[in-house]
Amino acid sequence: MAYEDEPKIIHQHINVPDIRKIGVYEANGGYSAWRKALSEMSGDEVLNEVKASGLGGRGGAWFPTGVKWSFMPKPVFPKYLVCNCDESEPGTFSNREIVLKHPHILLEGFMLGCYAIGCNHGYIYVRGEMMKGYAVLRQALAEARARGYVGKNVLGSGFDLEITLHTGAGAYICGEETALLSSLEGDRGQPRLKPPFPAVAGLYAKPTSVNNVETLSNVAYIIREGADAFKQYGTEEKPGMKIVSVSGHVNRPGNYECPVGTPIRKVLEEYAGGVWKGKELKGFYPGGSSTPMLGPDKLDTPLAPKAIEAAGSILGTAGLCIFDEDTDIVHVAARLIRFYKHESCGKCTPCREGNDWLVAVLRRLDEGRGKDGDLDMLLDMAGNIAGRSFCLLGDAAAAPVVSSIKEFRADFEKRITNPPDEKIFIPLSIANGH
Amino acid sequence: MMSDAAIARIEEICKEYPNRKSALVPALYVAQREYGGWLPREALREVAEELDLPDSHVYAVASFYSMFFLKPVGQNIIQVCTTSPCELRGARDAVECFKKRLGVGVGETTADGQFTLMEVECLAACDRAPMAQINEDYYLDIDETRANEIVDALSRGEKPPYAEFEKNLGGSHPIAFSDEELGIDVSGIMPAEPVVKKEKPAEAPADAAAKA
Repeated sequence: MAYEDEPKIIHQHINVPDIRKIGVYEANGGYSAWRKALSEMSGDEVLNEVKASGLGGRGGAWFPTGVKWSFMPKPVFPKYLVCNCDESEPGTFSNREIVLKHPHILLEGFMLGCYAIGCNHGYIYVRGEMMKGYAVLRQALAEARARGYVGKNVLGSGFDLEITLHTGAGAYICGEETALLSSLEGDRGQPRLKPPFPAVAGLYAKPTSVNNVETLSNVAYIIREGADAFKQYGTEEKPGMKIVSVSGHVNRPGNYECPVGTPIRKVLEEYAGGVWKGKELKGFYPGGSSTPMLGPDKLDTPLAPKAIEAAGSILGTAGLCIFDEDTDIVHVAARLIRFYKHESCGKCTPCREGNDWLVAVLRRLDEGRGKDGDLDMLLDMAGNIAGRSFCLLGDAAAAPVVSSIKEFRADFEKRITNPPDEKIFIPLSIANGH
Repeated sequence: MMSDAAIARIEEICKEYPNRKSALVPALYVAQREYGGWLPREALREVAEELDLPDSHVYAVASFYSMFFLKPVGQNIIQVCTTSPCELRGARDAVECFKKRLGVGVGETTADGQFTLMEVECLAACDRAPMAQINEDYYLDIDETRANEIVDALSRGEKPPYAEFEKNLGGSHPIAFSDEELGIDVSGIMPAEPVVKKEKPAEAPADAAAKA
């Protein structure tokens, strides 16, 4: 079956012309789940349906969404639902497409989420750079308000709901849920100690659930069609579909929605048209740059959390980045670490100082000035960052270093023993003094 | 001094939150728009006063986020994404195209103050690399022809082809604009029919619980 003909959930109507407009969205079944919930379901029933569907958080952690919602203490008010639309993991771009083309599917899921947990004022945190996406959401939200789907006494149901669009201003760390809440409260986007978890004390120290765009965009389908319909796709462990963002050296980079458990090979070869220019595959990372790189021998691994873990990596956001046979892995590792150094929030020492040192050593390797012992030093430093940082950014930064050395050690050694005659200096990013 | 319209927009934003501090990032966008694309100390002090926050807090926040500029920048800001997925698909060449065309290096502004060239980290559009954010718009699949077309149009004060926004926002974040300025349009959209609550037999909730 051609990709276009395969079943989809979020992408089912994404290319319908003008699906961004509320009338077109409704003509394609939009907001029927919201009406259904308000007329025949209680908030608990919506929550239980999502729980029964097995929907897991698509932002990368894959934690069961319904379970996360059920952790919120009932008698505490107000409660908050916050949508994490701070997509900035290198190689991940599925949320951007949803927001730009299909904003109402997110808004409907967000409304259902608010109803499920008893939240009367929710916030959607859109990364600052996503200006067009923000503007599209603002128009869509105004339309939803004009229809009466948001506001006081929604559709006469007695349920009050306000939705606010908030915006970041350029900081990868704000994708970490507690950093996002700090940012939303008007502070620097730095992570907070857990516990207390946001479910107990999140936004304004009230019970809060932070959910990813893609997660919430699945909720309308689950409520409209039922948990069993959702579970017909995917694996027993993680039902449903996942949008895989394919980038790097492929013929057709893009977002492909396919059942959880689809083999990486199928996504690469059938959907994305294979490695570009007829070249061979050198390696890839499967779930955004924070997940360990793998070699071609892992190409048949299914895109499901446990399977990817068994293969030595993490499914994460399913941001699949492909490297062709000529890729300079030493440079890729150096450039990725430059990213983490830039994005470290500076709160804890292992991440702030460690990434700086990783960049220094990787840079000299990249430039052909590496020394014996550099690889062991890199692994030692990475080992002192991972698991010892305040939040997961430290682990994320260590992953590309450790995995690239593990998978492609010969490339690194060659760069030390046979430095290129001509200095191949490729500048690392200069990022505006920040 | 910020205009009355800017203060009004900040006040409008403040209504969305239980405290004024939460409006800080949006308010900084409003101030940055007012001050021509960057935030002098005076702007930070005004925001602090408006939101009743310490100056030091406003400075701490403004200096944390990469989209607030604490030094003057060119009228147009060209920000090429060079993080790995983009770099693998030729982002380095895109940077060179802009450098050649503008005659400046990365981090520099042209002598006429028209353009600042920057490299930035992942903008989440890796499928259409090389790409750049230029003012309020993303530009995708950038090659030399496209880079020159974009710079030509901006030099003439026009919106380049393939821009995302039709309206020129001057590089400011749309949150700094009122609905009217942004052209938010809900004309012709009528309120939906109210829902009819379906009364359930008493055992229904137990069913739902069992199903879960």
